[in-house]
Amino acid sequence: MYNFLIGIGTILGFIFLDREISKSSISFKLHNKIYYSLIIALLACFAGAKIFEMVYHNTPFTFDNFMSGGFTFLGGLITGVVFYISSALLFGIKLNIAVNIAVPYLALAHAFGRIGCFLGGCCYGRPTDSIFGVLFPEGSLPAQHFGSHTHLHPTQIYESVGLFLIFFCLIRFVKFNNRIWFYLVSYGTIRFVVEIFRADDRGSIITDIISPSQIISLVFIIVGVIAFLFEKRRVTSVVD
Amino acid sequence: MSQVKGTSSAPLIMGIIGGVIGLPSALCSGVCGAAVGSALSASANEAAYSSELSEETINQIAETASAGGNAMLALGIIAVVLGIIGGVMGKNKPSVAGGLLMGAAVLSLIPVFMGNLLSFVVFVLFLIGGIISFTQKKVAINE
Repeated sequence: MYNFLIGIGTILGFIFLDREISKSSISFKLHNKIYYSLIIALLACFAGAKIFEMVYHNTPFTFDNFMSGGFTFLGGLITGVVFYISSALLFGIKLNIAVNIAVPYLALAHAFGRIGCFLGGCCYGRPTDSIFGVLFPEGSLPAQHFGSHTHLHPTQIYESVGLFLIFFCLIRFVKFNNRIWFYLVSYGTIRFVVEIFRADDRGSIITDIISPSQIISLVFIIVGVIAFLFEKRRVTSVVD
Repeated sequence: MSQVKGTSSAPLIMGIIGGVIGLPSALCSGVCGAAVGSALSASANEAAYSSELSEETINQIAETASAGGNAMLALGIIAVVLGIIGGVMGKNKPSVAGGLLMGAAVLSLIPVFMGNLLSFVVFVLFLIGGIISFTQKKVAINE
C-alpha cells in the first residue's frame, strides 16, 4: 500500500507542478530540464531510502536485503535532494528555481505516502488511551508488537495531516523564494515531535537518546533557519 | 523546428502506477524465474526421477534457479525504470515517452510466461500509457 499511495502522491505532485510551471514564465526548455532532474532524483530516492534503512538497522549490504527491506523516507529525501541539486546544476538550472518549485509537491507525495504507512501498519505509534488511539488488525506489525486490543497513536496520520498543511501553506501563503526554508523548519519540527510518539524500531546512529530521524530533523531546522537568514539578507540587500 | 507538448496526464498516471505495481511484480518475477530455473534443471537430470540427488546435482539446480531468478528480477526492475521515466516525460516528450512505455510493456510481458500474472497488469498499464502517449493531442510550443 505504501508504494501505491506514494505513487498517487507522485502523480498528483507532477500534475500540480506541471500546472504551476505552465502558469509561470518558465520556458519549455527549462521545464524539460527540471523534469530530467526530477526523474534522476526520483530513482535515486528509492535507492537511497532502501540504503538508509539498511544503515539504520545495521543490516548487511546484500542485494537480497536491498530488495526485501523497507524504506526510510528521510534517507530517500536526502539522496533525492543531493541528486536533484547536482543534476539541476549540471543542466544549468538556477538553484533557487529548482529547489523552490519542487518543494510543495514533495510534501504532497510524502503526505500520501504516510497514509500508505497507516494502511500498511508500519511506522506505528505508542499505546494511548486518548481519543486519537486506533486499533490495528490481527496479523499487522503493530498487533504483533502490542496485541490487537491496544490503541496506538496513529503517528502516520499525524504526520500526513502536518504534510498536507505544509503543502497548502506552501502553495497559498508562502512566497516562492521562501518555500524551502519554510518546508525545512516546519517539516523538521513536525517530524521531531511525531517521533516522540513512535514505537517501532527506530534504529540508532551516534546516540540512543534521540532517534536518527530526530537528529536529521534537527539538521533540517538548523539548515532552514540558515536559509531563512540568507534569504532575508538577500532581500534586504536588494531593497538597499 | 517547432516543439510540441502533449496534453494528456494519462501516460504519467499509467507510468507511475505501472512502476509502483511493477516493483513487487519484479520480486514475484524473481521467485517465478527461480522456480522455472530449478524445474528445468531438475528435469534435465535423470537422477531427479530416481530421487537420488547428489550434492553436486543439488548445487547445479540451485545455481540455475538463482540465475533464472536474478534475470527475471533485473528484467522487472529495468521495465519499472523505463516505465517511470516514460510516464514523467509523457507530456514534454510524447514520442520518446511512448517509446519508453512500449519498451517497458514488452519487458513486462516476458515474466507473464514464467507464471507471474501481476506482470500482466503492469504490461497493460504501460501499453495503454504508451499508446496514449503517441496518440494524445499535441500543441505547438512557441518560444
